[in-house]
Amino acid sequence: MAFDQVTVQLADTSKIYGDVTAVNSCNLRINKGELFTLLGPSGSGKTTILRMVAGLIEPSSGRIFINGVDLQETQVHERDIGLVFQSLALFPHMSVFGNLAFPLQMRRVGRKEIARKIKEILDVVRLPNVEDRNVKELSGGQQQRVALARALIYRPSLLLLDEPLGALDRRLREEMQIEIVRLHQELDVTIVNVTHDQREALMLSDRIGVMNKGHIEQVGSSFELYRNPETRFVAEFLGDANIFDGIATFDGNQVVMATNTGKRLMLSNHSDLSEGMQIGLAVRAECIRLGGPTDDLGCLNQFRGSVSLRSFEGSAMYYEIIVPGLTDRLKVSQFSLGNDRFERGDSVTVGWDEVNAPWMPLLTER
Amino acid sequence: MDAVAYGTVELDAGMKPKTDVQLSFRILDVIIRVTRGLKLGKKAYLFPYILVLPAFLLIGILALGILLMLWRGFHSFSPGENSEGGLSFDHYRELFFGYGSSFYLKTLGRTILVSIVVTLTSIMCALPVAYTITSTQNRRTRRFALIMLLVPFMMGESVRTIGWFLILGNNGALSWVTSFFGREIGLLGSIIAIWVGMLQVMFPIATLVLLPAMTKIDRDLERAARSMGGKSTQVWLRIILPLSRPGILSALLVVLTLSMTEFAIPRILGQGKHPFVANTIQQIYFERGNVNFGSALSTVLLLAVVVMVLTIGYFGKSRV
Repeated sequence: MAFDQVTVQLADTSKIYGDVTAVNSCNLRINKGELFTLLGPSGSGKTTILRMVAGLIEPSSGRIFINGVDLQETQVHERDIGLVFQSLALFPHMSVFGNLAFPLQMRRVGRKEIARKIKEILDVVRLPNVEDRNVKELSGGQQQRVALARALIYRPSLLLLDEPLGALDRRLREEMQIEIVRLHQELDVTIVNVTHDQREALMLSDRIGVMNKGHIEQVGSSFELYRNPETRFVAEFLGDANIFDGIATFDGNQVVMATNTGKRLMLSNHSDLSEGMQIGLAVRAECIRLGGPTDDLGCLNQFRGSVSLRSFEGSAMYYEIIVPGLTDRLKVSQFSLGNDRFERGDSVTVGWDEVNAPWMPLLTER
Repeated sequence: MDAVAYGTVELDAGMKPKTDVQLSFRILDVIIRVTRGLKLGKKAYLFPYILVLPAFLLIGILALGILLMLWRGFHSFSPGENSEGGLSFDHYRELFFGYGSSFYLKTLGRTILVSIVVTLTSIMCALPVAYTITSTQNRRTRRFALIMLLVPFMMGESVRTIGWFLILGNNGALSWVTSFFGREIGLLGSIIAIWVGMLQVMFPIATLVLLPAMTKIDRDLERAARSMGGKSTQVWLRIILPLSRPGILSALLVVLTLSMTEFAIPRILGQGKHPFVANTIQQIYFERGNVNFGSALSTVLLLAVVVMVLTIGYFGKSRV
């Protein structure tokens, strides 16, 4: 792969703190101009990777390249990186102007040029005329914008976001997410974003790397990860999935999974499947159809069950269904409109099309 | 009030005043009845004042002493009769314009100058130490550094000063080391010896005063500054120092006032050749026995300290 297409590359990078392996030999390529998200629960090592890329901590082993240059050969201050912290790290003793001028002063930019660039970047983040304000006087959203402006003002080719939206309330967070997408399109900058919010990751990213316990489980576009999770963790972390364990068998042309509980589930055909393979099947809550006790849903996988929980979630209606012999907690999500006819205790029919249920090999419990 | 009332009820009901009731309980009963009669409950707002009464007493006595010092300084003294005379400015006239005034002024100037140098150098030494202690992730390192800081406080200032006496003295460790380079250097009796001795005493104090202010600095600020291209010196000058400002100010105040009134170190390490004001005061009080003149000099020292503290306070406040 040509280096000019890769902005960040991790080669067998590890970080070990005492007994704890925060990052376990990760390999990753982040392409130029991409909005890449590292997604994972807290403690999965995503922030450690970001801080290693930023050069704030050194990898215990392995190497990191930025634009083809080994990080260890450059000093932090020589790198062309913008970094936004979760705490924002705005300098409390300086005005907005002082904060924005700092990176330019470090680069010995002239005074007039600094004033011009500050005006320009504040327009870009849509926060004009706040130069003289103290950062403590700004609202949370305004502080976010100043932090973004400060990381972008020297036009770095790589922008790292260390969960800066984590502390915001939902409405503001969504506003800033759109802002980040807009900046990404306008400024042609490679962005690496770290988050534990799967919704944010799916919405923003060109590609996502899902992390778990220091490993990168899977890298791919939002759609790929959601539709074809390769590991059980990815299937469980993104969205609401029902996971069944079992063994693949061939029944004529049809592939069938015999679950550990004794049911037979039809699988979509796949060349990678072989007889006797231990697999897991992920059935998304919103892919399951729901009907009355005598309805025929026209699916190959169809079961009778009873409603054990109903919960209204605004746009969706969430059910949990007991399916004897399969599971006592089948998660089903339906459009709330017109789908409120089942009550707790009602008998229902559930079913799904096998093409909507991806399977993954079951060697995934690390 | 409730608790008090509850106590009496129990006493009244449970153990009716019998002779075998312990004396202490009967005394308690009396106290409770008396306090009840005083209606303390309605005077509960007085309670916090009662708690600080001992402190007020102590400070009051100190204030009395200072007032007495001021009074004495403005009264004449006749050495022959060893008695206090009338109201006069004689002592101040003698201090600033009299026969020995150049000595007193020189002593005052030396005290101020050396104190300033000691204060600045000890804060300069304390800043990186306090910073390292607050930023280290390793708990063991931090604890070790803190213990090393506190060890000097566990032995008196005199013990440490005598230690320096042995190091800096004419046949001491320093001259032994320098003798290998062809010259025996004995620093005892020099201003440098005083400075070294005072630095060693003041530097841990400055560090301890700096610690709380430094702990409050968000380490992300420094990381952010570095990620934006800041080199170490720039990060220190632009971020860490300005944010340590409150700590530096308190350290300035504490170390400066302690240095200005230093007594043992100029006496022992300076060998009396470079006396501080405190040494001269001691000499006037105990060798000349002139309490009034000593009081006048003490007043001058007090004033000098107050002026310096106010100056620091003024400049410290104006730029926040």
